[in-house]
Amino acid sequence: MTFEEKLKKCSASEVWQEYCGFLDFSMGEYMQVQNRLLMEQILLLSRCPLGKRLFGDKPPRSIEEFRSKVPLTSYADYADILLLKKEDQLPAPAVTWLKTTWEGGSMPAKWAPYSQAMLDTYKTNILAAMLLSTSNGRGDFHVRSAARVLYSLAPMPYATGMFPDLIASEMNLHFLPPVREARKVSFSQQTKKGYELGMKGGMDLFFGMSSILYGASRNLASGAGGSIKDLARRLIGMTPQMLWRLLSALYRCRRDGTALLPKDLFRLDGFVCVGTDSAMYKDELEAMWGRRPLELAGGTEPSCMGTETWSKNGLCFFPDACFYEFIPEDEMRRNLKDPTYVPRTYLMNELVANQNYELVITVLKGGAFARYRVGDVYRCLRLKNQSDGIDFPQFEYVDRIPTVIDISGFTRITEREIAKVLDLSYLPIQNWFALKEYDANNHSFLHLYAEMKPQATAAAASGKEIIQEHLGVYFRYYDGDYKDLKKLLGVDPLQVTILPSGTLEKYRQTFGEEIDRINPPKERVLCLLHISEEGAMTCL
Amino acid sequence: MSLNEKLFIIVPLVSVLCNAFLFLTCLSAKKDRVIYAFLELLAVFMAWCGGSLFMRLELYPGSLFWYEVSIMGIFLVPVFVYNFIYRFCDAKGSFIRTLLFASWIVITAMNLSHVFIHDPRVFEVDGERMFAFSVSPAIVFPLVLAIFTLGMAWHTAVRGVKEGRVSMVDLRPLIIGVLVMFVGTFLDVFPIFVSLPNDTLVCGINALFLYYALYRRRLITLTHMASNSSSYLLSAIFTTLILIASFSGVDQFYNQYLGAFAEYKTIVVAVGFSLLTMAVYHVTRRMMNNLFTKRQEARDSTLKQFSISVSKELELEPLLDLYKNFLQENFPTRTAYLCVHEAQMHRYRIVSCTQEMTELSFELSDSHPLIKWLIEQKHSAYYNDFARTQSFKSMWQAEKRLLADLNVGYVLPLIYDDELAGITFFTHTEGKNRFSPGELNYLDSAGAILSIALRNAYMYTAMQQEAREDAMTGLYNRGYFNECIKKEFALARHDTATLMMLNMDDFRLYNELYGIREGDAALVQLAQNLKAIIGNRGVIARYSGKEFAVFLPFCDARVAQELALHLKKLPVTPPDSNRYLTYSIGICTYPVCAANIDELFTYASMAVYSGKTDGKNRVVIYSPRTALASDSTCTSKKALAESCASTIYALTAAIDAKDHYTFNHSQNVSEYASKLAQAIPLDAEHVEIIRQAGLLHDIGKIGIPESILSKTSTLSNEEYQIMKTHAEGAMAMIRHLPSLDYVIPTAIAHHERWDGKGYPRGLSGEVIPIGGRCLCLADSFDAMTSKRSYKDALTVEAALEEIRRNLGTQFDPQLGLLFIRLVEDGTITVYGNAGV
Repeated sequence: MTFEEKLKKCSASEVWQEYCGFLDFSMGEYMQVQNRLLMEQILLLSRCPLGKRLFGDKPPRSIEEFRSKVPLTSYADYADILLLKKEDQLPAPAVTWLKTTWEGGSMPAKWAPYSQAMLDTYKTNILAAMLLSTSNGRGDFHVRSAARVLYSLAPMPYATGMFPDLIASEMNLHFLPPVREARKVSFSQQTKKGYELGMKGGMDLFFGMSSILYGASRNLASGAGGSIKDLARRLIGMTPQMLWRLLSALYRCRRDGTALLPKDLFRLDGFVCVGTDSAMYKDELEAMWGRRPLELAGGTEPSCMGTETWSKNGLCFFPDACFYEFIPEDEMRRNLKDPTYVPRTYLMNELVANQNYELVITVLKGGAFARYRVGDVYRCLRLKNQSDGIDFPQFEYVDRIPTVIDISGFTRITEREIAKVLDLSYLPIQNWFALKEYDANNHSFLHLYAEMKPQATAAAASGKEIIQEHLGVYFRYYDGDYKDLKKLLGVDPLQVTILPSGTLEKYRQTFGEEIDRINPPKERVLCLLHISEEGAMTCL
Repeated sequence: MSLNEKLFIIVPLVSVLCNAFLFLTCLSAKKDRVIYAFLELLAVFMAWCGGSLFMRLELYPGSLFWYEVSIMGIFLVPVFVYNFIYRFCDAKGSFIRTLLFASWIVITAMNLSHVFIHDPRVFEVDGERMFAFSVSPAIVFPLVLAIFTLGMAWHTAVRGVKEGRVSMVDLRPLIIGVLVMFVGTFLDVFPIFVSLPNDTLVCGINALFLYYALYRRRLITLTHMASNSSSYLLSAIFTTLILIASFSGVDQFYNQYLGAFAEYKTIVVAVGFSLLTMAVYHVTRRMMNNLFTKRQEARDSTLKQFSISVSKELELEPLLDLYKNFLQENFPTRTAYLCVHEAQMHRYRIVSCTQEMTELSFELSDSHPLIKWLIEQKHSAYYNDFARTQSFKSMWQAEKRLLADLNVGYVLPLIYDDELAGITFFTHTEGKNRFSPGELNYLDSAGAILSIALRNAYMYTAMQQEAREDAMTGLYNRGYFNECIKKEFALARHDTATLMMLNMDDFRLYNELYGIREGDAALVQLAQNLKAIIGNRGVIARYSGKEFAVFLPFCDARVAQELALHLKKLPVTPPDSNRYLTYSIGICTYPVCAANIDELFTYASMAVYSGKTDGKNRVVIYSPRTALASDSTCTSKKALAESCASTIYALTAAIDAKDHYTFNHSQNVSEYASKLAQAIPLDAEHVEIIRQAGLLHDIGKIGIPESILSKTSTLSNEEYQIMKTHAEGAMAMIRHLPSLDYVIPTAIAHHERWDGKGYPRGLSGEVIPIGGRCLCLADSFDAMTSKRSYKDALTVEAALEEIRRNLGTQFDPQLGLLFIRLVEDGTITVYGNAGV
């Protein structure tokens, strides 16, 4: 029975129980599913060359043995198999391969295999998220067939691109624009076209990247005015319902002197956002759309891993997508400073509320990754949510790990990448560090603090604007995702601050160590700026 | 009467009868709120149709009365439809319901005052009686209330479906019925339908739909149709019709032929019709039974039979056969897999299938999500229902594939006292994916019966197991092992069989050093090793505290030795520990080295002792002709005897000191018996054992009072009983000499008689160890040829004659003859009469 048939033939409580019933799990039941599926994954891995590489001759016989024997892994540990797509080395045949950026790697992309069982789980979990996005309480959802969906996520082979294909077999949804058309155009054109169609015929569901949603929503708000000609052009092709909504909304806005907001035009049943900066945009998106977006957690390697619930207040991880381990923040930092140090991991039922953790996953159901460090940091919000009746921990996405700068969920910039760009640019930069910051519109950007070579300051053009422009060119050249970022969000994701010569040396003398190249602590940056302005003593 | 008039009578009549029939049927059902709501609704329908019918017929008390009844019925239909749906959906909150009832009572009361519809006007057109109604504008109020009431009914149904209290499938006949009713009623608006009794027709149809909805919900069964009340109604209807149709004919017939008895006409007719009514009732009842309950009765009978059969059965396999037959007979088109719980293996395993020649390699672990779900559910369910639960999430892909390959459609758990005793998997059948409600009831009943029987069978098996097994090692115990090898030996009687005895070396020391728990662990480990190496090749048992026995039918000594050597490679102490524990193995094979089971035990035990005395940790094969084949170059028994010589001398000296007449007796017996053993011939080890047993055979006399030993007259019965205890006394003393304990079986048997009248154990024939038989001859011969306090010495010839006379009674005939020959030809040198 497809999802659509279930909606017709089964009671709402049956549908809810099937897809969202995991929210009723006790901590014990949750761990039982985790442990059982991990044992399956161990068995699958132990039968394939990849598993033999991880386990050695003796596969682990228990979860404790698995955690103690198998080392924490990164993509480099799988690169020789996965980049060459050696399917015979995998625990289960790959039905499809998904791609993502390889931050800090020597190759531009990472590939991750998806088995049939993983895809089935992905599908079930995304449908659960869809139900939850339309729900106002436990079991109270509103999903209808033939709903119009504005879909503003990266296309295949990115993980988000699978959604329309998977959902098509389960439910009849009208994607805006239709999937076939969307594949022929660029991501930005797809979003624009989707909005136009939404304006004409309305929309019921919205799936998109938070940053894109935010940008597009602001455009809608700011573009509400315009000439009569523009208005007439917009009115052509509109359904009577949308026409009525638009006209009445324009009237109200004129009368009240307010901007036209999406909520004046659309009555969304469900609103789903993904992306690393979702938390930054959610309040404003809610204000603009009249419905709080439901955030999803996931990625190419872990697939669709977690969702918020009807209260949109914390992520719940699906128990059947990955086996989750967590590295506490202090352990993670210790390991970043000393790569030989092996950080301790904790399980879902061993966490502490309000603590940040780096996520470690073992992809279940024939996935390739075991004890894999995704590079994401989550905060454990609470161990149980009594108001929602959830008995296992809920999380919020914090950011990438400190060595990676993620800009609006599009690109992940590492020390290696910046060094490469600086190298390519031939700019006379002697020393630098970079961190992620947010502008007044809550857009994240890369802030590069650079110190020029003393002898170059006179000889070369070393103004801030010139350097920023120059580096921007090379970032766009080196990183395709960076290019998309500029195109889609219309913002410059790079800010450069030129530090007086010798600032970093003074800092080193003051603190006895170099400042971290990527994402140094904020207070250290402030100290450094004080040093550059007033001298070392002001910070001590 | 025109056709139209007839229709207005026949259709309401059929509808009334249909409703009345359903009403009576439901009266015999087990009543709950839903059934009561249905009965109320039927009563309203009957009022509607019956009122309409009787109004047409202008029955007493008149059209007006029946008109009021009919209109009241029509007015009350919406609220009772709502009430029925409210109950059917198990809805909560009674405010709206109470409000609606109150409103409709008011409206009905107002209608009785003709506020909404005026009295019908009766007129005739072309001889056809017509009824015309006129309504007031106020009719809009009941109309609006009716729409609101039905809207609320719809809302209640939708909520019920949404909240999972009722399924759409269950609700469907109900919705169709109500729709049909209102479409039929609405048709009256169109002139073309005005002249037809649509409303009363659809009223009857609706009742049937509602009845079906209740049947689907298993609230009533078809057997209720065959209740007494419905049979009475039908027979009353038939008889009345017959009476109406035949009354004038009967009256005419009576007047013509029985005119003389005119004064009895009423009684005769009444009695005649009463008899007819009884006959019709019986015929109707039988027909109804045949129609509706025969199948049910047949099922009940089968179920009863099944229940009786399974309750008598305690063995698992016959029980499962009974169940399999039951399923094959009752569900011939379904394939069912029977799964039983194997508690020790923590699994449920398919052991049988209703389709022969089906692969049964399927099992579910105790922790399988489906098992947990079934225990929570407690009743049968479709597999698809499970596939939509969260428990399904934790299923392995392989587990899902397995159940998919099995094509499981329906699962019947066999639960008793919250324990899942077994499972029956029914496969999907094309076009018949769903069981009927009756079949499900039937299956559940059979499942409940079987679950109790299964539980009993498991308990019985467990008790049997307990009685047969050694609790610590899980191996068979000595008693069951002895039973088993009798059977196995009977099978291998004309072939080869080998007995392997294993005995821990210095086990007491190990226990003292590391504790009894460690000793037990070593025993358990050895048991596991044995299971792993021997497997199904033979029967394994823990024979005594530190002793294990393995019987290997159709297996020779060499194979047994190989197995033993493999076994030796497996450690019994914890790995990486410095603990050292060994065991010796003795092997004896039938028929090469032993003639029967007892000899197998004796010789295998001797081989074990041989291994122990030869340095321990040995595998020794018993051989009668040659020296015992051992895996080591061991020292001989003689050497052992030499090492124990001082002990043996001390003991024999002690006896001699106590009983001077037996001076040198032990020496003589030892000499005679060993000579005899050599001549049999027994192997050197065995001969040495007999020699040592000869020296020690009377050691028990140390415990006999000197007054009895040296009594010159005949012993009293009491004294004789005391004297007899010396044989067991010998055993009690030698067992404290661990290095000599192997001589016990031989030493204590020297007073056993061939005819079984000896002591201490009363053994007979070849069951008496051969060493014991040798000692018996030697002991008797020396006793006869020696002078004692109570007698003089006999001559050698007289002694031999005495032996000859007692061959077959006291002595082994063949050994006795051999002994006589050995004495006669001088092989045995007689030392008799040497006592002082």
